[in-house]
Amino acid sequence: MSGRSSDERLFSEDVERLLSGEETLPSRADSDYDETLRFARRLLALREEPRPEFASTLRQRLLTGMAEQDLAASQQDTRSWFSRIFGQPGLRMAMVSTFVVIAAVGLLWRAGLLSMLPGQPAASAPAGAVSDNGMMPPAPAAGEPATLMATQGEADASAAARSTLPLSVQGYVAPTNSYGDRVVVSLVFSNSGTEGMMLSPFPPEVSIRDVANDQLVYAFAAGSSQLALSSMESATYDISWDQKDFDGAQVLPGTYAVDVWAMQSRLEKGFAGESPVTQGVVAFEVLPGAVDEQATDTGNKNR
Amino acid sequence: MAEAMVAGDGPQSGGPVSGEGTRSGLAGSRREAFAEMYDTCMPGVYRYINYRVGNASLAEDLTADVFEKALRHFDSFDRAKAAPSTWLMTIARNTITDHFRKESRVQVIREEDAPEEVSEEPETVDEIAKLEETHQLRLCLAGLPQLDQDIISLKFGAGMNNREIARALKVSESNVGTRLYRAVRRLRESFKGWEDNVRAK
Repeated sequence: MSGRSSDERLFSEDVERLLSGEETLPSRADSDYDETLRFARRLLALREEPRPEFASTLRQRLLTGMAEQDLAASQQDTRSWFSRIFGQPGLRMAMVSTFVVIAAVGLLWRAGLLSMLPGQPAASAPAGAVSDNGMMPPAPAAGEPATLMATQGEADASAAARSTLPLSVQGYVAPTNSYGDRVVVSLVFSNSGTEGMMLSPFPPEVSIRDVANDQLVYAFAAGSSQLALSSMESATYDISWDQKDFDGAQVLPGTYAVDVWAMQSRLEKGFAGESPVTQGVVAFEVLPGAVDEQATDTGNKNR
Repeated sequence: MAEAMVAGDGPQSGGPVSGEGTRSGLAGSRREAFAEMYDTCMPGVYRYINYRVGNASLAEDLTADVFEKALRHFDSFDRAKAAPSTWLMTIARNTITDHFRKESRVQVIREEDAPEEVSEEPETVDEIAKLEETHQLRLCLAGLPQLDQDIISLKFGAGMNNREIARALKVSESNVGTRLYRAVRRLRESFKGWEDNVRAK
């Protein structure tokens, strides 16, 4: 029994030697063992190495598959992250709702509809504006800021411009002025948008128009500068008119309107979005009285 | 004959890759580790499978199956529990078993399942005799119990040592030694009977 056990152990050792290319130990004069060992050599000769082409092809295929597996795993990670965020119904609903609200507000803002909400400054067709038929609205009470109005015949274009670009102008003037007194008009340019805007030219062209006959009686020439306004920023420009027309003559009592003309454009996006700024009209009244011969044009003093 | 042994974690291992070498592969990327495992173990896996099925083409297909399975489960493979060669041989055994089961074949090489060598158009009588002898050897091997077939295939095909075979087959190392010797003797006797018949003819 121990002899057979010894043979088994010895056989394993001899086979290990054969496998490692070594010679076996000298014959033990045991024909059965020796025959078995010789047979083991024949068994060893049965084994075949894989073809090199097969080995390299399979290797390449597997490594390619592994790369794809890695890629799929990384994509799965991304999807998992996405699904973690959007997989929860409550969170998903909250995010979608937020997005919808933001989109709706953005659209309303872009359409200019927000400026029509109560409490917002009117940007178009406000009370006191000159209507399309040229009728003069009642002048605002003394001390109250006059409201900008669209110029007759240009209301549509002006409204369209206001709806697309955020720069607006409001005029403030004493509603009644004594005959021959200087009329001071404050023009406030406001950028209600979210991006910087440019007003050009600056000072803008400001003209005085006789509302009764829609005749231009005087104009302050435009400057050659530009005015940059950041988001929600505003700037004031004052003019002082001595009630004289182009010929230096005192204008007649009546209702006069102030027109403002300039172009607005986006600071960051060039002038592609250029459009006229509100051609606003603020109206005031010149009361009857003695003619002041010394009145002069000082309208450009503030420029 | 080239002696490219499949080595594992055993101290008797004379192969090119030891357990330490495999662990160093882990330090690299996952892909490099797999490539290293492939380069080290693929020849042994192929030889083992070819030893079992006796058909080079089929052995290539099954070897590819083994490594594709290994690739799919590579992340779950725990090197602390098993050497790569042991793990791959376990997959290979299961793959062979699945193959024979799928093909509804008994695990005996039948006469009509001519090994690939027959188709290689041998030129000499000696070559014909050698091929016939090889074929008969495989038939005799197929007649052994499956465990003995595995032991002989892992030993002479894959070139594994007794400790590695014991781990792959989940038997004791001494049992491997005992069964190896007895299985080879039994195979020798079976083959001798065939040789005697041939000589008698």
